[in-house]
Amino acid sequence: MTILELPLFPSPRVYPLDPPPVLRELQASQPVARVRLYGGTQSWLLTGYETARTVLHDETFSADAGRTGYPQVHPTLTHFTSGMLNHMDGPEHDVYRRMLAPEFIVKRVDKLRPLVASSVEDLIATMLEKEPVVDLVEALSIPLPALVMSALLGVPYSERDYFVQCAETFLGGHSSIEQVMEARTSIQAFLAELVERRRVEPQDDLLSRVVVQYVKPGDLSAQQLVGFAELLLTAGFDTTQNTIALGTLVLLQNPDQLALLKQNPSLVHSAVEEMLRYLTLPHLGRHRVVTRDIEVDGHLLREGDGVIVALNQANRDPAVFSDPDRFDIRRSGQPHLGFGYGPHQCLGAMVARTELRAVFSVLFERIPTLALAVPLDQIRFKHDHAVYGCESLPVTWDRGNTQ
Amino acid sequence: MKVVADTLKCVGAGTCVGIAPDIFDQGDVDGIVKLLEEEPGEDRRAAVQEAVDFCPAQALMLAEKD
Repeated sequence: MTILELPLFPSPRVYPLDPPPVLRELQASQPVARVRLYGGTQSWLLTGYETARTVLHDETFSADAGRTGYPQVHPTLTHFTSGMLNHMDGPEHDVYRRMLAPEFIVKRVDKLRPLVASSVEDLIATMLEKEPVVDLVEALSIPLPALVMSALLGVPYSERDYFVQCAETFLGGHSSIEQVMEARTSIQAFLAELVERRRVEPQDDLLSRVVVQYVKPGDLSAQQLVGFAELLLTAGFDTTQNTIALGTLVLLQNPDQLALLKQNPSLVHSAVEEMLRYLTLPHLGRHRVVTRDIEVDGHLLREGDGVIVALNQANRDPAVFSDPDRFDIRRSGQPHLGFGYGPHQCLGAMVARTELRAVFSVLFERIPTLALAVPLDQIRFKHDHAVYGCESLPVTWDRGNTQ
Repeated sequence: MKVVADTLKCVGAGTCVGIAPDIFDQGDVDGIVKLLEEEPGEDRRAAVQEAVDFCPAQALMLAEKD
């Protein structure tokens, strides 16, 4: 087969909330396939659930984007994160991950719950003061994670507006390249200055604790901590933001499921997990490079081969999820791969869940008549972003029917 | 029923604590799994099995008592 005959990755979607149809075809006929990437290079593409788990848990497959053969699926994907925690392997990765992991343990994340709940209430109240049509992305999806991330990092209250504004410009997806780069420089300078302040006078926050525990004894440089903080901000912003918007959309597109959630609010936990499975917003997958020849499901993968694990299609594997293309908030059983799998599984999964549960336990209770203000085909989706989402989500409601 | 946790494999994702906070905890300093209950009662079997299945690091095991 010549390279031009190989399927192209990524490929276009047809229905905006389903993975591209070519992924479904490959999953059925060729779950370990060769694909062609935008620059003319090739990679393996894995679409099966069990294979995805096996590979993501096996350190034969390196996450180091600097290695020869690492799949280049998108021109700017590794631009901001090369050399960071998500691209480290083995003991180096474990050492740094364990510096940050205590900040994301359930006990600590639980302490964020009151702040998340009050932020959701405030944002919805502000939204309801407006005359619909309102863009839900701007009113709720973007500001919530920005507020939560600034609280988590320990940005002082008086400086949150500035920080949130920079974060929105940097990561909101609505700015020009120049604005993004400028906002990124501002955020790095702000974080560097904040780390220095916390070194002199530690507070009860993430940066202070890491400074005291690791920067002062010399295990981590202040510059590395600034890099980590930026990575956490990036990772915690785009993902949650887009899940709030598309989670709302998928409920509106599935009125039977929305009715179920309204009737039985305790379904919010499984509804959020189902959104994470069904939407799987990191739609370009997880990327690895093979470090020694290894057989995967009967195929010989050579040292230096690139591997793409298609999380979105693995989360639609009919061998694991019955009727996988159906959005079913009562689904239980096998865990989804929406946060990835293995040593690199999303560190902030509990924070994301806290935010999403807070949103979807009150959004439709406060605004029971919430509805799309435009037809689905007028919504612009972020096809070429590393994290899938929508540019805006115009919504409306019956003003006489809110709580 | 006995729960076995491999603290070297654990990546501190906290999935188990989310599922069964009466059985699993995480270290304050490193986020790594701690067992609050090494031999939970049979009534907790389903929750422990779920934690084993959901662990992203494959760091948990369920062993029958000998």
